[in-house]
Amino acid sequence: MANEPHDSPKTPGRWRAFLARSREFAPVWTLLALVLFFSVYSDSFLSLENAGNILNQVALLAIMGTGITFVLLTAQIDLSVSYMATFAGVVAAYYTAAHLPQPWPIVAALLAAGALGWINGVGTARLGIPSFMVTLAMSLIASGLSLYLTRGRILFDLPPLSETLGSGRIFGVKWLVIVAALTLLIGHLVLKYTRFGRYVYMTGANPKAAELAGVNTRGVITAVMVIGALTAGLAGVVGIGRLGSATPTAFDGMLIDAIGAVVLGGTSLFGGVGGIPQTIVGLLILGVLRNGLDQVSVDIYMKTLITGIILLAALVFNILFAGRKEN
Amino acid sequence: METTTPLIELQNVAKRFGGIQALSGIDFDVRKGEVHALVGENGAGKSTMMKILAGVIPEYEGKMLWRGKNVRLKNPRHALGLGIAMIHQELSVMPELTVAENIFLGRQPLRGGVVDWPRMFREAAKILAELGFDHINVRDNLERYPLGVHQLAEIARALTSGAELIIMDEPTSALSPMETRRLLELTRNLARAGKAIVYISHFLEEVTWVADRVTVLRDGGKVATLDAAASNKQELVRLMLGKEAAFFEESKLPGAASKNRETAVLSVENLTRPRVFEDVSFSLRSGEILGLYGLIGSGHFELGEAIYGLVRPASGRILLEGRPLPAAPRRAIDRGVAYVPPSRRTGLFLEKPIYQNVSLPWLARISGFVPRTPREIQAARAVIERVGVRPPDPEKEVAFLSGGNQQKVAIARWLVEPPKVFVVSEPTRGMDVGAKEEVMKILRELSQNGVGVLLISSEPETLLAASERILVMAKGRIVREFAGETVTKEQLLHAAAGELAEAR
Amino acid sequence: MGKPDLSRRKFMIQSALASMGIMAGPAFLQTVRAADGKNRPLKAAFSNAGLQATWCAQGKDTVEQWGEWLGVEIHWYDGQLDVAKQRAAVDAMAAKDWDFVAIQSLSIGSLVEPVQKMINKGIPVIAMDTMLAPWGKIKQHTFIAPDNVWMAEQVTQALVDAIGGKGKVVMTQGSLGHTGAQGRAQGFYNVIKRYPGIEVIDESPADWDVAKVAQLWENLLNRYKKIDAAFFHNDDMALAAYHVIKSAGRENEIVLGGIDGMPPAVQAVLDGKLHATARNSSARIHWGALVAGYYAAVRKEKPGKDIPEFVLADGPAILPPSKEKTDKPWLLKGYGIGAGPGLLWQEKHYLA
Repeated sequence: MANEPHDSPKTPGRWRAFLARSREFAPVWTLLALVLFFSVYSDSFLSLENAGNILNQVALLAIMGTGITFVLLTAQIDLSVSYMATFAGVVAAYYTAAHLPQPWPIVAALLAAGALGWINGVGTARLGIPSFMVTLAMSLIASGLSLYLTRGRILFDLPPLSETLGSGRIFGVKWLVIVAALTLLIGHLVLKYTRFGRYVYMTGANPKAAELAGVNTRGVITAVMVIGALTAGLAGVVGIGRLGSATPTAFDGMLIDAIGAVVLGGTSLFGGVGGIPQTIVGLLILGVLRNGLDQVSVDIYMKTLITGIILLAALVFNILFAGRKEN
Repeated sequence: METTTPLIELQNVAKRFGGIQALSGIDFDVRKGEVHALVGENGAGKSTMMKILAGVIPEYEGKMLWRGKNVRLKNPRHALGLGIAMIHQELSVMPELTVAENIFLGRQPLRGGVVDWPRMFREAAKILAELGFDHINVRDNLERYPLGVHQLAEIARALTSGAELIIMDEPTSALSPMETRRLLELTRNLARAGKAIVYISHFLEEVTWVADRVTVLRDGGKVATLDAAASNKQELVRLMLGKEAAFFEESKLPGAASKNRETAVLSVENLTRPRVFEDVSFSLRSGEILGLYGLIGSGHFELGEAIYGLVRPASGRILLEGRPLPAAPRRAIDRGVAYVPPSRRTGLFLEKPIYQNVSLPWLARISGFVPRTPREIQAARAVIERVGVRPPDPEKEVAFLSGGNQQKVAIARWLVEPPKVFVVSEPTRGMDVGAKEEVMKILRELSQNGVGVLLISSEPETLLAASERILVMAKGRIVREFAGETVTKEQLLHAAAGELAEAR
Repeated sequence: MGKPDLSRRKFMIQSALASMGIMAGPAFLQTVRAADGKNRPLKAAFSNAGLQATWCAQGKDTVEQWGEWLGVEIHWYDGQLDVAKQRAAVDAMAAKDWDFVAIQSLSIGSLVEPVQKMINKGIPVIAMDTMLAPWGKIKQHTFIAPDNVWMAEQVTQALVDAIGGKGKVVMTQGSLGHTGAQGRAQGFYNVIKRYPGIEVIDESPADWDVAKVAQLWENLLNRYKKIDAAFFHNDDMALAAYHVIKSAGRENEIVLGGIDGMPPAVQAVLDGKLHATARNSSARIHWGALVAGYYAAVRKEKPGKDIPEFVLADGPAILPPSKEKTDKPWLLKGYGIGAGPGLLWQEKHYLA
């Protein structure tokens, strides 16, 4: 922010007010542009069924992304989420195979993920290790635990609740989508309408100032790392239901997409700015892009390249629309 | 001719930011071999004018002449190319690089595509010697030297890049008296060597000492350009404010020496944090303003942090109303201790609205588990109106406010629930005289309402303006208490610096 | 020196029996000693793509079981499904001395330098599953591998037969740069090009990633209202797709085939979820390498002379049991039972 007094528009006209507001919504325009593009170039893209499809495809990312939003808002990062999701899925399947009565395998999975998140939090907040490094180490630990529990095998005994939530329907709607929507909703309510949520934003905006105002910033950071781990765990538990099996690498590849979706929506990597609505837009951009490219006939050797180009274009567009920070 | 044609000249320059007229009708010139000071309250237009001179703001009305020819600066690089360099208040040095690298940052001499280190060291040493700082080893990392040398490196960088006009923005705000003196002498020497210098500072004493001419700005317009030798502080203040203002060179301290511990709201006993402060004991009474003076680095700011619980002392006790105060800000707040840190940047959320800045310590009390924005705004409006934040709009971002008003927000926050003890560090740093006086008024009102105020500062004027007693710290120890007597700025400085010399 | 001879003969007989599919119990075996006269067990190093992959984990279990039976000390260097990590592991391996080593490289050429170092030290290096380098570039002991083209041809043929030689077909590939995937794609095309009535509507890669498969197949199911058959480059992807297809209620419409013949897939064929898979015998490749290494270390078999440059680790195609009722089962493919149940037993006992 410049120290100069801001423009206080007295006679801006509706158009300028609209433009000023639209800056905040740059990612929304990106999303609409993508939807328009694929609607024109594919005859199967624009349908109610496919819309449901897209929601279903981003559901796991959404569950994970909710926790990541919390983490990024405090200016931390969690590189272990996808591995913790895999781990939670493996734990749930492992204890189901070991005939632990339901729903204890799921409880165990969430507790295990939460415990790893707590270690992330303590490492970051108490010991002062950068979250980048703690969670990088944790990604190996989670991945290693998955491998150790499965011994490289794929587990097919899943908790029935995972099966239901992962691939069941209620009133024609996928449970998975409902779980994701609820997770996002709860995340949003916590961030916007609780004291803790305010602390999360303020800790990210200026940790030192938050501490000076009596906020227990270490506690807040520990808590968001646990939240990140719990949502990852939830993603893992319902995710195995979606895939029908728990493999020792099932969700590992989702890391970049999950963080990418959150950032794409406009949540800052530097903390304090963003939120669940932004994350939802980011998820939809990514979801529409991935889904749409499967709906148009693209040379398979070009697909990754095109995905990258469109993503870059979307980011540039976001920046152009948001107006570069003036100095 | 050469001496009479100004190096740079502004003719009838004006600048608007949206609805606000930041500058208007400015005529200004700097000659070779001259130090031309620029003074004015915050918001008077100094920084806008400086940015126009340095090419940061390319769009403005009016004309700029460089060596008598019309120019329009496109960007700072363009300005630098002509020979205009700006030394910012926030230094752009890299402490982890060597002194020489900092001087040649981005322009290292090359030989065959690689940095010619011997030449760089040689030339860096040469320029520092010319400036009279030959004791500095240019191969050392800059971080091993005090802030004054950082500033010096930046000035040397400007000189080696061929600058003819050097703009210095508050160059001494972070320097010790000794370093300040050196810098002022250096500035004079540069002028003597034919450079032109624009010197911006709040410290009027420095200005009258160093400058040849002084231009006073008020509300975006030029009030006067004076011959520095013929001006004095009182006159400058009057021109800046447009009215007479009380000025504190000395003060009769009304307070009695701290013998009576019973009435103390806060007592500090033998507080020690090795190498920061040692064996510090004092007490603060309700309704008293106790000044704590020290040069930068003497541990007085850290003592304030310790009282608020930001750092844990190694030994000693802090008692609030006779009961120990644990080292945690949250507990301190709950027990009625408020704290304003020496830097606004660390204490405030610039990108967040005022009301969120104000309500953060009180969220639990203002609105329970769920923050209720209307209540927060209401509470914030009450306190910012009380301290006179302008504009008094709680929903504006703090970054929107001027420095003085930001500082008022930092203070206003603690008036939501009146504290018992108010620890304020450097509440007037970088503020103009008018804003300073307003802040002092708030502190006096608080003390009249029974708040014990611990006023920590390295600016003697600030302390003399409000304190009832003054403690002086040097090298982490309390070395002197002034109470019930008349004390002058010189006495304070002498107490702090004299003891410093002995401690060495 | 009579004793080592005796145990060697025993080893030969027993391994021959084992390869015929007769269980060679540990009770029959004595510890093999190195041929250098010193009384020590053989020391061998193995590395495969990464133990996260079920197929690789099965290989490790096989080698360890056989190593225990044969008295070969096995040291494992995990590739962790990452070319750089495997390179580091094999670099570490090359710093030590071994009686023989066996390696499944993640990609052709990525391990040439440390492998060459071991070959120069005289250590027999056996390549498993994927070539270490193009033919002739490196003097490896031998190359034991499945025939990806042939496996894909068998499965594709079974799928084509099942849909009557015409219809819309999808191939979901592994990763495009993977030689195994390229071979499997080739086998698929070899069969498909003979049937003009078949239209290949999608051949997107899913990089062996089950989460990507789920995503891809949801999109395919939306885009194409009719899909007759789908060929997957491995079983894990086929089973993940089956899950998505089933929750879309289209499992009876689409005939699925995979490759690898891992127990869950074999079971899925027996249950009618998959139509076909081909056994890519992890066990045979891994114990094959162990046996080849033994002969190289103890019998001094020379590459190109005593052992050819390529040894096929064959595995059967697994199809559903025949529906025909007959009193002459020897006239039916797989005696009307198919390879499935027997394969499950063999896999459990580290044979195939």
